[in-house]
Amino acid sequence: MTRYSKNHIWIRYENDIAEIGITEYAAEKLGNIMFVNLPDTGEELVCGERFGDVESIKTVSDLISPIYGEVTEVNETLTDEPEIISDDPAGTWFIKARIKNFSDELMSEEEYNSLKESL
Amino acid sequence: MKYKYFISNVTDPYFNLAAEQCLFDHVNEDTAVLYLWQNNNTIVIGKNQDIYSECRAAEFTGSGGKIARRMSGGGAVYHDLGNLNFSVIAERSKDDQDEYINVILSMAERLGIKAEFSGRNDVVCNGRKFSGNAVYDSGEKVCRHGTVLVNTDIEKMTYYLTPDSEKLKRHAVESVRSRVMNITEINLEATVEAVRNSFIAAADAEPLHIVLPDEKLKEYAGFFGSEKWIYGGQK
Repeated sequence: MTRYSKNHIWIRYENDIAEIGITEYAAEKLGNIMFVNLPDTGEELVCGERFGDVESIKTVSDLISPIYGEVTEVNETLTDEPEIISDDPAGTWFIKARIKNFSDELMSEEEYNSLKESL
Repeated sequence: MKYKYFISNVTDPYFNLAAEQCLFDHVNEDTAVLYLWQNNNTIVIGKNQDIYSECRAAEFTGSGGKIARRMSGGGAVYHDLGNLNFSVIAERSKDDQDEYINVILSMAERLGIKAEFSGRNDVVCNGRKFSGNAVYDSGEKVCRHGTVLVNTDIEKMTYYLTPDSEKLKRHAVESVRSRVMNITEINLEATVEAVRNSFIAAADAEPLHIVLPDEKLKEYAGFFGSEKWIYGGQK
């Protein structure tokens, strides 16, 4: 199942295990991504708070967690090759996490698409 | 957008970066904050830059200079009291790059300087750069900030900044050296004070009457002044 946050983060999950990345919309807005800072495995995720950030050619932007949980895996490839994010944002996870709780505000793809159109 | 301005009266980079963070709390749907500040004898590097490939760090700090790391990206800059920094902090829904640029261009025009935005981040006059700009966001607020060279010691700047040196680390962002100039080269009478007033006029800003919260300010200043952040870029 895939859900989206208003901060343009996607979360794909099965049972309590999730992959988290940024949406195509976010990747387009950012432009070329040059750096990614990610948390360490074992770090706690707090819904609505930053778990990392990206520096693109345009800006430095915080990554906001859509869940409460714990980081179980970090995509280290992104530290060396951040450019792969822009090639396939929907298929590139930043972290994997064990979910404790969701945000109430997560959206379906349809809801997220209408949010994008309103921006 | 309506602006309120706040002028820092200290020249310590860690305090000034901390004050910028505190000002996020004074932004709302109706009002953006225009923050005007100066650092003395300071090199400020971008969030993800490698300090040693960007500047003669040991020599600079050894001679009394301070090095700071900012929250936004991009290249290294040198600040002295001939340079004015400005920040515009706004709600994300009100953030507008074009408006930000117009405030800078209007500031310059008030001083008789015909400027234009160039490339990604620069403001130039006759092809020479006098202002560099960068952006970062935090939650629902966006901060755009930049420098204005009024009468900075450019010789010292080019000595201490070393953007052309080979990359010491693979992740170092190379600063692009474009030709820079002080605006006093165009307008002999321009002063930091005049640039500050022109910014306030260009944004049609009213004063923001606040006292920054001492405890929060100290906490942020401690963070910006920590070796872990300055040298390692780690929060």
